[in-house]
Parts: sequence; structure tokens; C-alpha cells
Amino acid sequence: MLLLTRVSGLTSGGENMENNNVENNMLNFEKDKNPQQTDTLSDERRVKVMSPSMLVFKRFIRNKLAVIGFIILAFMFLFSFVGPFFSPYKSRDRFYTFEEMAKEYAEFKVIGPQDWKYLVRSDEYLAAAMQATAKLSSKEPSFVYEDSNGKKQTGYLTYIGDRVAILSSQYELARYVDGEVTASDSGTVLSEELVALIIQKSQELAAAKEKEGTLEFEGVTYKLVKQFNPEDRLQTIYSVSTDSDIGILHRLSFHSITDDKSLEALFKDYEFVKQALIGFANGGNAEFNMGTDRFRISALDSNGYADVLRNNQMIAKITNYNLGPKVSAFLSFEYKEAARQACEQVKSGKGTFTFPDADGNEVEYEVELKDFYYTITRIEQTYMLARYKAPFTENQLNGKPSINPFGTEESGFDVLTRLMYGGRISLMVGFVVVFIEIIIGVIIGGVAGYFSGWVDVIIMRFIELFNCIPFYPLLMIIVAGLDAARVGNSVRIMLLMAVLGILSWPGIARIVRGQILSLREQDFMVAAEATGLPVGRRIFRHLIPNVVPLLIVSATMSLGSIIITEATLSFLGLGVKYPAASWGSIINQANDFVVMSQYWWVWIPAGILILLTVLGFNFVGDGLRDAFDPKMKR
Amino acid sequence: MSKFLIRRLSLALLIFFMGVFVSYSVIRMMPSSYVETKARELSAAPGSKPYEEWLEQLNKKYGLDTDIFTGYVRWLGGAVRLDFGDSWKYTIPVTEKFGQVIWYSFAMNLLTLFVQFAIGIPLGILAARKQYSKTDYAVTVFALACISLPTFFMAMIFKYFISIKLGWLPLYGLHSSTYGTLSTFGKIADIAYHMILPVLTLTLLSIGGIMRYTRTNMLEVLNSDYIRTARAKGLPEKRVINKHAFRNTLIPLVTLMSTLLPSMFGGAMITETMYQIPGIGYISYQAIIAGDIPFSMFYLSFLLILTLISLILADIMYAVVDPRVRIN
Repeated sequence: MLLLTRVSGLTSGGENMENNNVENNMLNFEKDKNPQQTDTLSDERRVKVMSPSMLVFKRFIRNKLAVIGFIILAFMFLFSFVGPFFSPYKSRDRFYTFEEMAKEYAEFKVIGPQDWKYLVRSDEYLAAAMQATAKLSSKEPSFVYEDSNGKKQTGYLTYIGDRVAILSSQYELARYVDGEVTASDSGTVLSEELVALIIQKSQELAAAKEKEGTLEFEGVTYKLVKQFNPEDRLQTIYSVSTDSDIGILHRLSFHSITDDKSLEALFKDYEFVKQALIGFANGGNAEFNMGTDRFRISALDSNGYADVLRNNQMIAKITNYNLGPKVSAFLSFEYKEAARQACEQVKSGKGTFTFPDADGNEVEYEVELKDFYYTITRIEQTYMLARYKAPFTENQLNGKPSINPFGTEESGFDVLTRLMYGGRISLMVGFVVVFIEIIIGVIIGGVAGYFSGWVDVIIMRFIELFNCIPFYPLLMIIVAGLDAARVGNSVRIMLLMAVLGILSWPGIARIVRGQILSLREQDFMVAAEATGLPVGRRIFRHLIPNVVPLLIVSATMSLGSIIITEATLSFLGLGVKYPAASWGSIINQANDFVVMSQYWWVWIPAGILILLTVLGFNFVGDGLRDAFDPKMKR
Repeated sequence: MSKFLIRRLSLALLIFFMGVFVSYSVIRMMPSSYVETKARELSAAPGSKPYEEWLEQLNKKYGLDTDIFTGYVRWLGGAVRLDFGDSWKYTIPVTEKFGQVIWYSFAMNLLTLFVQFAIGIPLGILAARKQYSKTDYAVTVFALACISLPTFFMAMIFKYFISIKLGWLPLYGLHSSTYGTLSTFGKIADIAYHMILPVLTLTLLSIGGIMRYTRTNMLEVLNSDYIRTARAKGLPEKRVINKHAFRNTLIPLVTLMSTLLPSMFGGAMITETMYQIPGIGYISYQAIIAGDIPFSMFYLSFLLILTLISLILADIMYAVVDPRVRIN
């Protein structure tokens, strides 16, 4: 009976409802009259008596929009709260991808007739070597150059074959300074006899005040020239020089066979290079000693290359082309040969070749002829964060290929998974806020409506005050304040919910108050008062249950608007902060124009979910209102 | 009437002072990001004072060294003389900045107002006349969809499809780059061109509410006795709807219109921000984010006054359009 009163109190005047009630009452009445009579199949009394909540339910499911809304909401809840359990990915899973990138890998060039390289005994002969390269094409045997002191010197070029030339010139072997002889090159060891001869000759020259003199030792002519030390002009200095090789010019290249870094130093060692190249130029099959090592240059093979062996172990090849890596990698000689053959086939434009890498996988290389040389680019698979990958591209997660049906976003997170976890936050914020606002609203509205009089006036003014304060600006001020306070993300979400709840209760309070004001004048409340029930019981057992239907309707409606508010704040970067997800904060990435225009999958699905959810709440709220109150047809 | 007005006005004044006090307290209780940022900036300069000293000095300079109540009284003292201080962010008097930007918002919202009533009311009436028809369902779904769409998402969808994909309308801003070279008429046309999307967005946002409101009221009116009488008299349906029903539907709409006052002057914060229209909403949003207390306080009190005025106006308008209502 109590239930019936509640509904009829709400629905007085509703046609369907009234008829049903009358019918039900009549049926009950008849049943009471003849309790012992058995029912037949066609008996009217078999028509089911429906409870008021059943009636509401029936009316609700007759409303197509409400059912659609309910289905949408059911889907959203399953999606957000159950979905993550079935999702293969976790919310913090980052996806990676292999991006194909053409990286310049190496450069190839056949050493042409002009491309002379040089190696000098010491840096002071660099000038000579540089000027010598200019003379090489004319094959002149000698030329005049300026040495590092600006003095004119004569250089001599001796060609051995057409790829190697020896540069020789006056080479300062030692210096005599006041009775002492020091070798100019610390590496050179002067024999004691020679030193004695130099000292003797220098003293002779100094006594005779001669500027120049010569001396011969073991068939080599040495020239002594007086020098001055500008700081101490009293010193007697003679520079001892001899005609000797000071550099080697060549059009060849060493390629080490093994990835041995020490070899690079060896290939820059003047003595070694000189001996090796002279050996090579003379047709190979040469041997020489350096320190404790014995080197051998093999005979030239069909390509015109020669092997370099150290202590009978092959260490390098001497070839007529350059091929150097552009990246820090060691290129094996087999690779270089493969690259050379590929390059030689390309007369213009591009070509490709494959060569197995260290793991035996074939890697493709692209060869392109630039102006004078070939660049070898490697199509490299770079393992990198899958940022903004379109839906259904295959990305990598923990080394396993995996599909992202909604693509990935800025930090390589799966958009679909983020939508699920974001839905949790968005829906949870909605429910918690509505819970807070209902508790505050029901208490304050109930008190105002029940007591009326001055309590009501004060509370209503208070509500009015709350209603007048601009909601969004104040909310933004508070939330921007949370930014300055630097609170953590979970604390922030909780504070956000509290603030939203505290700011939005006046609407509920108003509805509750209005409803209670009209209800308290009704007969059942007079009856409750007459029975002597305490105030609390009267409010919470008799009044509030009658407010519940309207409360459910407005709570459903305000759920939608709270979800929108939270999404708006998060979108503006004031609500839930990245990397925590809510539907609004997912769209926040689209504040970046590039993301908005290029990567639609990052933000459009989240927006559609918000739209559908809010629409669902509004449909259901509308349907519930109609169901509770058939008079107001939507 | 005058007695009613005096009572309402004094009440509004009380609510205003209290509302402003609440707003001021909230703002002051929040950590002031503006002063902190500024102090950090200044202390980072070479050979500068330490951060704490700057903070203290700036707090003193910006009047934040007082307790909340003293600060409120000081602010109110200026505010009643229409001196709202200088905006921290824009470094000009608050009222001057306000004067520069308010008209953009006003023009935009006035335009929106006309458009949304011109579309929303007829559609609402149509839906009510053909209750439970396909049209009715379409209108209801459309209205609910408009209500359910977050402003920012609607704006982004428009920007994405209309501005980027189709390239019909500008993405944001109020002027083209050639604005300076245009004639007076060209300038107006340029601004109007830039306002199409914001106005469309604002219209769609509020049109749902208007349609539903009109529909509900129209349904109520159509169910009332005098409509039954009019029909019983044999009046043509057109006349029943247009003369008898429609005019009575306007009564609640008039009150609805007066509640739109705050939004008209208050600016649509999100929409203006999305389209970067330099109206009061966008400017205030930036001031609020920067922690500009004078401008935020001014904006809040401005909205508060508008809301209060609109409430009183709604009461008066209601009495004006419906002679049955007695004010007192």
C-alpha cells in the first residue's frame, strides 16, 4: 500500500497509471471476496498484478530512446570496467615499431688519377707533400717548394709504377748546438761515429766562421748549415741535413681484414706505408722488417690487389679504391668487394645489393652515384617508440608483434587501452561527484523543505548565493590553484571530485526542497505526524523515498553534465593530467595542431565516447522521468 | 512594484557582497601561481635577491601580504569606485582591457541569440505539434545530442572537418592577415567570416535546451483547456497554433531569454578559447590560468552582477508578459 501511495502521489492525473491502479484495486477486491474460488485459464483474475516499480520498468522499456541509452551505458560500463581485463595490453604498455630508415652507411670511390694521397715523415713536410700532389700529374721529377720556415727547397719525385711516388728533399737529420748533437726526429738513432763526425765538422766550421759545409759518412753526403737562435745569438748552431725521402704519395688504400683498431695506427705509420707501398709498386712479393714484426706483401692478384701479411698472418689488403664507413662500423673486406662490384655496375642513378650482417640476415643496401663517388645507404630497421601510429598498424610490444586497433598516441600507448582506463576515471568521477552532490543536496534541501520558515529562507538564500557564483571560472581558479600547489595525480583527481561535488549540489537541493514542500502538505505526511513519528524518521522514511524518483532522474541527467565538465577541464589541461587517462585528457593531446589535423584516431574516438555516454545518460534520464511521471510526456 | 524592486535589489546586493567575498576567499586561499612564477623568474636573474625575498616583496607589492578579510575590504573599496586595479597579466587597468574585448563577445553572443531562437523555437513547436512522430524523435535526439556534446569537442570537430578537411572557414582568430588593408565594409565582412564557426558552435550548444524547453511548454499549452476551446470553436489548426498556443508559449521563453544575459556578456569561455576569439571569455581564461587576481576578481564580480540582474529581470519580465502574475 505504501508503494502505491508513493507512485500515485507522483502520478496523480496520469491516464494509463490511473486506469491500471483502478484495475488492480478492483482485482484485489474481487479476489478478497472469493478466496476459495479456483482460477480458470481465461479468468480475468489471472492477469498479473503489477507493482508500481514494475509499471515504471514497463514504461521505461517501452521507450525506445531510453532503451538505446541504457544499452549505450551498459556498453560503456563493460568497456571501461570489464574491458581492461580482456584487453591484451596494460595501461602503461608502450609500443615500439621498426621504422625503415635509409642511413648513409659507406662511401665508395675508385681512386682516380688525380686523387693522390700522401703520408709524410713528419708534419713539417706537409707543405712539401701538398705542393708535390699538384706536380704529380705533370710527372716532373723535381719542383721547388716553400718549407714551413718559408725557405725555398727543392723536392724530388721518384715514381714507382703509376700509383706510388716517393718524395724526397733536404731532410734535417740532426742539430749541433754548442757541442751537443740531437736528432731532429726523436725516432732516429744516430750512430756514434756520425755524431762524432758532426761535432768535429761543426767545430771546424765554427772556427773558420763558415756558414756551410759538407761531410760524408758511409756514402751519404750530409750538409751542415749555420743557424741562429734569435733568443741567444751567441749559440753556435749547425743544422745537419741530408737528401732523403720525406713523404710518400700514392693512389692506393689499405683495408684491414679484421676489426683491429691498432691496424689503423699502423696504416698511418710512415715507415710501414713506405715499405709496403714500395713493395706493392714493385709488383709485390716483398718482405721487410719493422721492429720485431716481419711483414710480407704478396704477389698481386687478378684484380691488382695485394695481401699484407704480418708474421705470416694476413692483416690487410692493398687496393686501388677507397671504401670507408659513414657510421661507426667495421666493414669486412668481403663486404667491400660486394659493394665495389655493385657500385661498378651502376653507371648512373641507383642500384642495390644485399650482404649478410653479423647474424647472417641479408641486409639490403642501396648504391647511388653522386658527383664523384658512390654513397652506400642501408635500409635500417630502427627500433623506436610507436608514436601516433595509425589504427591497425603492427607494432611491437616486448618484442612481440601486436596490433593496435585504435592506433597509438604520443608516448606509444595503445589508444584503445587508454580509452578503457580513461573511461574508468571519467565514469568514476561522474558517480563520485553525483554521490557527493546528492548527499549534500538531500540533506540541505530536505532540511529547508521540511522546516520551511526562516531555516528555509536562510538555506534558499545560501543556495541562491551558490547559484550566482559563476561555476566555470571559479572551478578553473581552484583547479589552476592545484597546479601551483603541485599535488600528485591521484590526489588531484580526488580533490577535483570533491570540488565538483561541492560546487554542484545546489541544483539537487532545490529539487529536493521543492518536492518536499509539496509532499509535506499531503495526507500521508499528516498521518505520519499524527502517529507521532520522530522528525528524522518522518523525513528519511516517508519524505525522502518519495523524492527518490525525481532524484534518480536529476542524478542521471547531472551525471552527463559532470562528465562533460570533467572532460572540459581535463581537455584544458586542468583536470586529470597525463599520463593518467580520462577521456578529456586523451583529447588534450589534440591541442597540438599537428595531432588534431594528422592523427584523428588520437582524439576522435575519445570524443565520441564522451558524446555517447552523455547521450546515454540523457536518454535514460529522460526515459526515467517519463516512466516515473507519465503525465509529463518527455 | 517599487517595494518589490527595493527588496529584490537589497537582497541582490547582499548576495553580491557575499558572493564576491566567497570568490575572493577562494582565490586568496589558492597558492598564487602568478607571484611565485614571477619571483622565480626574478630570482633567476644573475646577481639577484633570493627567491624568498622576492616573494615577500612581490606579495607586498601585489597586496597579498594582508589577511583575506582586509584584502577583501581593500578590493571592495576600490571596486565600488569602479577601480578594479591593474591586470597583472595584461599590465593595463582591468576596466580598460575589459572595454577592449567585451564587444567581440557581445556581438558574437547577440548573433548567436538570434540564430538559436530563430531555429530552436520553430523546431520545438514542430516537435510538440507532432508528438511521438518521426519528426519529434528526430528533434528530441538532435536536441539531446547537442546537449551531450562537449563544447571543446564540437569546436574541434568543426575545425577538423570544416576548416582543415574542407578549408571553407578559418581555423581560429578574428582577423585575416590582410585585415589592415581592408575597407570598413571588408573589415566587418572579415570579422563576420571568422565568426561563423564560433556562432555555429554556440548556437548548437544552447539550441538543444531551447528546443526542449519550447517543446515542453508547447505541449503543456496544447493540453490546456483554452486550446481545447479554440479547437471546439472550429478554428483552423493554423490559427490555434499561431495565435492561441504560440503566444502563451512565449511566456516562459521570455524568462529564459533574460537568463541568457549572463552568457551574452559573460562570454562563452570555452568556445572563445577554442577559436581564440579575443573576447571576454578567452581573455579571462588566460588571466585565470596565469593567476591574475585583479582580472579574475573583476570577471567573477561582473558575472555575479549579470546573474543577479538577469534574475530580477526575469521576475519583472514574467509579470510584464503575463498579466495574471502579480508582483509582490
